[in-house]
Amino acid sequence: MIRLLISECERLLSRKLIWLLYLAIPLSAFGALQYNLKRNHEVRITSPEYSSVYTFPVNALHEMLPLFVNLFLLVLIVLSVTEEYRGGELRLILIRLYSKAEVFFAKLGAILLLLLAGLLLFYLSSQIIGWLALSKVDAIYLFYHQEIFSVSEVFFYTIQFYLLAFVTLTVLSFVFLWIAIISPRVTVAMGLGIGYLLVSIIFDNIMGSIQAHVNSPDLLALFLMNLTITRVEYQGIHLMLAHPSMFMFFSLVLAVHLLLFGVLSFFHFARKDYCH
Amino acid sequence: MQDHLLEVSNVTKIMGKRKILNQVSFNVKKGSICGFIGANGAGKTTTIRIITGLMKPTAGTVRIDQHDVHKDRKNALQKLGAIVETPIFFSYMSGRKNLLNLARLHAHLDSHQQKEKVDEVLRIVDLTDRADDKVKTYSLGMKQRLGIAQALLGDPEIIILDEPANGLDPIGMRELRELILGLSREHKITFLISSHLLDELQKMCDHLVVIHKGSIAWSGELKDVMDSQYQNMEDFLIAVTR
Repeated sequence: MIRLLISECERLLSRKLIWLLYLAIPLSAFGALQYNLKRNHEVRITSPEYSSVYTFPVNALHEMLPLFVNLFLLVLIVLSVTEEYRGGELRLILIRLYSKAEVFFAKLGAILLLLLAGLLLFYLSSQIIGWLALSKVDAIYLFYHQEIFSVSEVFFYTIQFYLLAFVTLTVLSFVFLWIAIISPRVTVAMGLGIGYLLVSIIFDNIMGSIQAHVNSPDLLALFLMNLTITRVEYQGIHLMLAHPSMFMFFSLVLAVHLLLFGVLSFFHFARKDYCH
Repeated sequence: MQDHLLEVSNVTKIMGKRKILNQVSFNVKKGSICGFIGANGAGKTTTIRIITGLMKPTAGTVRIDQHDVHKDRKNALQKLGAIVETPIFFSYMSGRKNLLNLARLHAHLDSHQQKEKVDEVLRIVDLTDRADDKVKTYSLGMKQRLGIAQALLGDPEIIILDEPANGLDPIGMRELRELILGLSREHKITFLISSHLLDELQKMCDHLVVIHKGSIAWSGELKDVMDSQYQNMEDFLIAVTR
């Protein structure tokens, strides 16, 4: 199985596009810096939105998750799955000793390893850029927390934030895997993947608007407002780290997505005849 | 001693409402070159997909060296190399890198042996000079040879080739034929070769299996066809598929 995993990673890393994506990671952190520098002029230093050396890695990822990081993941999955599955290259692997289930999990493992490397690179880039361009502050404020944080506490918070972002992206990868398997072509898979993200974001915004107009929000409205993975990425991770009850709620949202799209993608990949 | 390396027994495949294969049974003897002939749509590729484990049969069994492909996959496929349909590779990698990537999947080869094996199979198929070029620059004939090279990586006892002569020019076809005959003679590899090209099979094979509309119409030794009442292979094929 390790050999299969290495073989999958090796093929992905042989693609120029993957290296271009890795090259774009520090650039995206730099883009987040430009946005944060502008915002720092608009918010008070006591606001959690204010980016300092300490909070920039979290703020930068928070901004880049819904678009850049999700697209990074989508491209990884489409190249690894749709192209090989529909193009017939997968035959080269499946006629050897490994079962379709093993190939499925090796592909998932390779995608997650490369994603983890990407997140690590993003953290290092934003940390370095933050140190070079942002100021240190005496008191650090975080989203949905009343108390002031120390530097070491923020470091621990940052690690938790990145870990939860990785978990959320792992769940999203099952959604993209399913899309990648059922799509007849790479362009269709990219289109459907981007469409899924856009529909999720639009749904979040519509539910947010409805919620804003309801004076006494009931449980159903709250539930509907927080159903999507993009919502977990945009607001859920901060909430999960602030309130244990929200941790449970968003974990449930992720678990439902994982179960549904995990079963669908595994069934399509591993249980159906390979006819391409 | 078991004489048959490949045993296909009563294989039926139903897809949707269509019966693609109906009780297909045939054997391939160790050391033979067996032609698998039939018109387009007769069920050749579906049979090959089932033999190579890419598809599951609705009913019936496929055994390679007595190991069931669908129940004892690892032991069965250990003996097998194959090109199913057109030889497709990872076009963004060189021929050598493709083979090294695939050689990694053979558990009996350590990293040093993988490199040696790749060099060896490249030599066998005469692709050493072009090994470091990207596969997308290869001709179809070279891709077929690279296909055979990847099939040889696991030291197979049987190689299955699906329509290997398709799209090849006469020189490419001749090179491929000589390669197959050489591998059979020198490495004692058994071949099952599907085709709809009678002449090509006649020049290579010693056994023949004829498939027609998803059922086996005839199987036996090629010399029996030659010794029979038919003037030529074409007449024979028309007669058995009528």
